[in-house]
Amino acid sequence: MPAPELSVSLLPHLMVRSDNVLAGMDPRLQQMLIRRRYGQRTQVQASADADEVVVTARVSDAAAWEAQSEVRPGLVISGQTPGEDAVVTGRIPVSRIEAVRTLPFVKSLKASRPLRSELAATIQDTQAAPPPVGSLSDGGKGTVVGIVDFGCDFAHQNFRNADGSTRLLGIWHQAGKRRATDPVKYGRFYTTGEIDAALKTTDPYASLGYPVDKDTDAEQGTHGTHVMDIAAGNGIGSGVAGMAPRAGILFVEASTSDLPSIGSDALGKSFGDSVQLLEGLEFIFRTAGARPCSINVSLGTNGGPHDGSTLVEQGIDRLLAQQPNRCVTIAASNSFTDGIHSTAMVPAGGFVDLHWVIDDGKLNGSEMEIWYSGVDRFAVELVSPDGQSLMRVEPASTRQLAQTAGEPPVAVVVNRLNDPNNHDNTIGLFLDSQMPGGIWTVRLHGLTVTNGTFHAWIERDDSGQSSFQGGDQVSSHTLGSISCGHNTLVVGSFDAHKAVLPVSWFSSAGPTRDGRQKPELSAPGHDVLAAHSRTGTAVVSKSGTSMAAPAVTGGIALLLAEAAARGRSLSIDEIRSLAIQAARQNPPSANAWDSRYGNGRLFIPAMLAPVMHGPVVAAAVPPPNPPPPVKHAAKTAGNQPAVTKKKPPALKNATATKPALRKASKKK
Amino acid sequence: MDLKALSQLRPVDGQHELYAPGQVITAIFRVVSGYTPPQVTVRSRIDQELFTGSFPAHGLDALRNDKNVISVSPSQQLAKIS
Repeated sequence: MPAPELSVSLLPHLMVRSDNVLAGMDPRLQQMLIRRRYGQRTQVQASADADEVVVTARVSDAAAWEAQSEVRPGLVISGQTPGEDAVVTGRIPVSRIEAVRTLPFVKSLKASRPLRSELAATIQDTQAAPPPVGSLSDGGKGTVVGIVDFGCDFAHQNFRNADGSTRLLGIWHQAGKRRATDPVKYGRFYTTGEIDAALKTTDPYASLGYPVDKDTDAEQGTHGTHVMDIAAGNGIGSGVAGMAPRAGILFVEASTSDLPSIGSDALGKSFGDSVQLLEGLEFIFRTAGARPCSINVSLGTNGGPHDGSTLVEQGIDRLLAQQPNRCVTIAASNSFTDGIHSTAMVPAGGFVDLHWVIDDGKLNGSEMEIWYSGVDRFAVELVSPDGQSLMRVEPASTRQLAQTAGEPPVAVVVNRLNDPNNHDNTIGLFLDSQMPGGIWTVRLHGLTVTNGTFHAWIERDDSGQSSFQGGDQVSSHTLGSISCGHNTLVVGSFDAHKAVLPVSWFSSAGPTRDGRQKPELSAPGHDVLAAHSRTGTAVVSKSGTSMAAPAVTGGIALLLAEAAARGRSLSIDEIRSLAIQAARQNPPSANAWDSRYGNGRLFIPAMLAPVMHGPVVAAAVPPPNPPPPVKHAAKTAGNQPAVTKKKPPALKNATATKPALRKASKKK
Repeated sequence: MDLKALSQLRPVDGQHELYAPGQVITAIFRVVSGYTPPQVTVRSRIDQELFTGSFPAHGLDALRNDKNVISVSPSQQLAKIS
């Protein structure tokens, strides 16, 4: 007969028949002992072995504590001075709790708070577990969670079954060396069987031939392992499960070379690319076949038209429309305070100056991309920090400057008309790293102006981000380069550990340049504790919209599993509608889309309910309703939330209310 | 380079080619339904209008002038959002 589940409410009754030692003990330790008496195992804590408990103790003799054979000593938190107790940590077997507690030098013994509280915040706020009464989602069983990212620690216990075998359906290492048998046209595909064989060796990473970094100066643990755990970890190692712990997992290692994916040596080199991303997504969906499939993408840069018209975004939209029960979730980006976006209107016959702050000694060149209506014609002038006008580039032309004939250019300006994907015009500026730092001016001259509005983005550069000068910074429209598609779900981040659930200071803002309401949702992405690569069981804290998106990815896997269990299919329109309509508010304000929270916070019970209890009707996604751009008042020190100031709406056409012109001057 | 050196910069005659002549370029293609440009090797087909593929850099001009090719987007870097 299975042991009965115990709840804290039963403790007083049980303690009636306990001895005085138990009655006077830390309640968490009491619960562990009682569970043990009923044959139940203690949930493993991240830093303890099975049936061990991490404790904090106050002892009168620290040396005796360390000498005790049951104790695996940890730290001496406060030193011992004569006549005073020491506070120490350690790990002890659950079976020895009472014995240790009754040692004469142990004055107090408390179970440490398990580290799971951080990831638990994700599960708790989204109410992913326990599942709603009557739910058949079963932890996402039968679905495929796809992860396109960097660094998959297949050996971490959170991605293994109880028998030690892998939960991974495969890993496509796109920069790996292809074998004739691989089901991909390039790179290396590791099968479930190969991963299982590697897991039986002493060095599974070397055995598989797939290196996974642990810690470097740049990052603790790999990004991909952390993301994968939030979406689909089962908690066997760390003690806390992710959103869809019973889903199968398919990982695409997006690296475009054999360079390490993290670390100072890889700075500026750890990249996937748009072609391989699209190929990775197609491969995951094709491999999933008829199985429901939810894919996470926490990649992007700053540039692009931000209207969903890039071919990679069109490709993702098409993949999602081809077959039901598919979803792609993308992180909004972390650029809210980076000063990488600006917008204004160029007057006919006048000009607008954009001030571009570039530090001296940058490792990489700096890039700016400007998009404006196809009905307008702007000329662009590049002015150096000391006021020299280096070049003026008319519409439909390109100019380049070099130090010496035959050498690569150090400055390139392209003024291109009629982009084939959206028929808007675009201006691209590139300044080589050799160019001097300072405040450069990009002057936009209005030659033919019907609309006048432009948006400018500075491309991401992790080795030294250039930015717009403070007064030019507009923090709306800071979504990532591939985060503006029509069928994807884009996710912002908030801090689930604070009572008011504040939006994360870094979480990028919508809308898209064509006025659509993205991000659609937000999820916990602040100080999320999830799997730490190369540790087997441990976890590490990371923050970012990269950590928010996989909560939605796993949540969608639960939705797809619920539908599949009831014999139902969901189109991407239905999936998006269910997720959006179920979103919780307050925050954000009720009945209003917020440029950073989106329509609200991911909420699993309300998302599953229509599938569980009634027919699914794909309600129209809220119509475009551009909110006011948010002007970044000032860069803030440290990690404080940015102060924002609302401006009039940014508009696509000239018939609506115009935003305030900034530094617009009529030609004399 | 210091600011004074900026006045010494010279316009580049013609357009500096971004790609070496023999370089293979990977890209996403949007084409008239069912069309495959002759110089392109398809890598992954999304549908009849959109696919990934590769082509030699010297084929770029032919693609620019191919009326059945709507758009070509060479691969662009994507970094983890962190």
